[in-house]
Amino acid sequence: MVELAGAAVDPREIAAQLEVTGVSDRVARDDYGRASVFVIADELWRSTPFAPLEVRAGRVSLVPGGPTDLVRGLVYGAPALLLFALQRASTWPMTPLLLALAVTWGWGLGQVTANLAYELRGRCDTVGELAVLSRLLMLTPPTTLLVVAVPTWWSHTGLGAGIAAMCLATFMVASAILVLRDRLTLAVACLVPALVVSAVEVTHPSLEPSLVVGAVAVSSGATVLSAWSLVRERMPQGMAFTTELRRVVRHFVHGLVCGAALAAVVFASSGLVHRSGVRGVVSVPIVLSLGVMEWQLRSFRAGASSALALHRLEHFEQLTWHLFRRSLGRYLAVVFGISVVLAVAVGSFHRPRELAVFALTMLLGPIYLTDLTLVSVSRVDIALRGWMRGMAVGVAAGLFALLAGVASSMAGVVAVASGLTVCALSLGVAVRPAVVAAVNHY
Amino acid sequence: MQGDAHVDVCLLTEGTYPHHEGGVSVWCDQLVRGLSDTEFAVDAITTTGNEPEIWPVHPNNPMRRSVPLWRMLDEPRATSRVPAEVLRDIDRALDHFLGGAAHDSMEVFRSLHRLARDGHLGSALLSRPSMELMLGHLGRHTVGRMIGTQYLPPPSVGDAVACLRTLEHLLRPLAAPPTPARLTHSAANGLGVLLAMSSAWELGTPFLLTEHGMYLRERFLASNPTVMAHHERVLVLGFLERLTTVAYELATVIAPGSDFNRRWEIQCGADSSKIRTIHNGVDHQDFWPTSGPSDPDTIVWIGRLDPLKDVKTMLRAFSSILALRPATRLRIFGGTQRGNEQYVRECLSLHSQLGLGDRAVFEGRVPSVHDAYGAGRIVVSTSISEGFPYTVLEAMASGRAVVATDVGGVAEAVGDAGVMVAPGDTKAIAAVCLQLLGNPARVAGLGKAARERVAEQFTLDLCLQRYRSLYAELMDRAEVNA
Repeated sequence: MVELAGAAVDPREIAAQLEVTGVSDRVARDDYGRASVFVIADELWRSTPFAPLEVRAGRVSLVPGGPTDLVRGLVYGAPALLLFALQRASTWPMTPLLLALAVTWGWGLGQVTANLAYELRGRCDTVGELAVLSRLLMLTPPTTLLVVAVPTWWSHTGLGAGIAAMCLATFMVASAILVLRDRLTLAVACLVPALVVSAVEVTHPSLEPSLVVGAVAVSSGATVLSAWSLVRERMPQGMAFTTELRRVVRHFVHGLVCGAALAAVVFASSGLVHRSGVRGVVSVPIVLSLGVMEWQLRSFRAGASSALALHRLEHFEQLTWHLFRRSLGRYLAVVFGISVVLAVAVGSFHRPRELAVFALTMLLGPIYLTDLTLVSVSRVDIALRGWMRGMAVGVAAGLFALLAGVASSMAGVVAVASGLTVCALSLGVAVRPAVVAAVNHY
Repeated sequence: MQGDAHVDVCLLTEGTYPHHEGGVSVWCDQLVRGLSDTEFAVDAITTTGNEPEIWPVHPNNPMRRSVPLWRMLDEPRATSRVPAEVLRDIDRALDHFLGGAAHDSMEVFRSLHRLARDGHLGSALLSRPSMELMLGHLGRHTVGRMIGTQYLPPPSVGDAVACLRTLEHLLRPLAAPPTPARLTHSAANGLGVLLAMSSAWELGTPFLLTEHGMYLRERFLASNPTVMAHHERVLVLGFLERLTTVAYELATVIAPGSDFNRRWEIQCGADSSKIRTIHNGVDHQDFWPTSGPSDPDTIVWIGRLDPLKDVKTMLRAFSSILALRPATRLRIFGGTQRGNEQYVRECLSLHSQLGLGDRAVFEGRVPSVHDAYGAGRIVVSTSISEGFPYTVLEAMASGRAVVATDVGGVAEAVGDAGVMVAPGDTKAIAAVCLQLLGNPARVAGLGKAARERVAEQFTLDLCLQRYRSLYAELMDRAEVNA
């Protein structure tokens, strides 16, 4: 009692504690000779030195990023490798449009998955979190099929391509669920058959197509089943999320835009290079650096969270801005390094048009990191605004180029390059106030 | 005045009716159902606004509104520039909530209400200038006593953020437009009062305040210093203390559910001439007599499995009883609300540690509460905090001998028709139960006295009649004033 009285901030708090331990007004009169429990509380308040107690369950400190995040990056980037292997091995053609749609759709649903899971976890609603994740996993296959149905029919690619696209999007959501539920090892274990076979197929294309398709199917199936076993939960009553719908839609649109941006860069690269080998590697720097991106993002978040212990606002702001720039710088260095190595490897170093492809990729990488940082500090609105401005300028620039008589392939390059530049500038201007605002880090 | 009042009474609830079970929800439902000639609206303070309604809609209460505190959609964006006059109001409010005495509480809330209705409050509270102000006030704040101030922890940026974020959520109801009604009736002195403020200041609606439990007292107990950081506790409890004071000032009549609350209200600054205690009531005919024979060796415990109900003390006491009377059984009736799962796991673990086996059974929720009261002749309540509990009234109406802890208004309910013990006193509970188990005549006598006491003083009709009269008086008075 003395301990609680020492930490009390009001004498009535002591009175409440006394009553809970059985000191009623009657006890105060009969046993302590005081008029009421409030009198005893007042005496304790005045005679007990203030001594705050240690908070047992303080804020959970964030874990900084580390080499483990490279494994996360592998899980995030796996769809790209699986696709590449499937394309080379399978008999049914997957049109670039179909792939772009599947990746974009999976990205959008993945964003909703992560956002809802973290939100419900923040509300300590474990049942709700599992129930929502299971519904999203169930929704992914039919919605993806719906989305790719028309392009599949239009391009005569057949049912197999549509199913592959569906599997790809479902795998993306399922692997996101495994990572969210801290089952990284399980996610990697599920991926092993597909990764091994895909790696062999990419480096030495001599495997039986059925072996590649089978390995990818086993990995995807294992991932989806593992995720399903973790989240199988009935929807609690009242989990309609009608009031949160606008927010969910915002994150979904954000995911779609991110996916579409990568697809746009890949498509634009076709206008610059005609060697299929180079077109194929355009997304490699982004895919390979996903783990580093995660590492730097988590390090920034953990650093900013620790900085909340500082006592002056300006010190907090200086430190968080320094941490963000450090993360961005390190990530940029990695993307640059990978791009240079690739450019040398595929012999693009002396072809300015091909180098431009790598420049586009290098522009997209930091945009993604900045975008993810903004989303992590609950400012998806700024990120979306940046993307929308970029899209608007990109479309306008592309149209202008077409009207000016530029070839359509080059007009696409102009559109993507100007769109990304405006997006980068927009995010660059808005990012500082958002990342240094202490309220965004709680 | 009172706008275009479409309904007679706007009932204000928080975390209870119509979304959750519990005593306050039972009382709300009794009131709405019982006063069928009164048109009700319900404004319920909720967490996210997604909570399902679990209480039926009555014909006189078609209007129900949810006012969520934590809905992400309402999350304000911090503004970079805050007008000087807005900042002045925020500065004054922060100082006031952190113990600055030189302000008029009512005026502080009025200014916050204006800002909230203009849509400026949330974004201004989360702005950088407000953060600076909060850090300054937290740094200047003293603990309110002369000794031990050297241990006052310096505020960090995180403390200031936590305080402002929490305050922004707590003040959200101020932004909700008031429901036009002839009378506002709050079921608790909590955040619902913020809605009553809007009604009073914008529409001139009179305000009736009922307190079943003491909101501030319960917050004192819930905001444990080992769970919540010091600076946030100071702000939250300071805010609630000021809110409580303003509520007493704003209320035309204060109608606590027990005299226990009355003394707390006076202690917290309420004008005693405004206070009229109205006890809860039960439909005693419904519980009288209980059907079927009851087991003389069975002790019954009824309530939701919640730390405030202190089930662990019951289990420990029963362990002592079992050692001396092995034929005794304990039947625990009641469900688990979301958030209490860990507590129930702890209770089950204690049950196993004590080796109670099938002598003490968790029966869960039962379809008929009458069957639960009929299961034994002794009903025990081990709560560490209560208002004026229905479980005790219903046990008394069922003719059971009640053994209850002396908390809240329980002693007023039980009087001489049961046995009171100190909360958490395992030995005393065990001793009284053993005494009663060995004395059936006394059990029968206490049961009879309990039945008579409820029929005389705590019937539902009596409770409804008092509220009907009070509503009429307050509405008439408001019309005369208008």
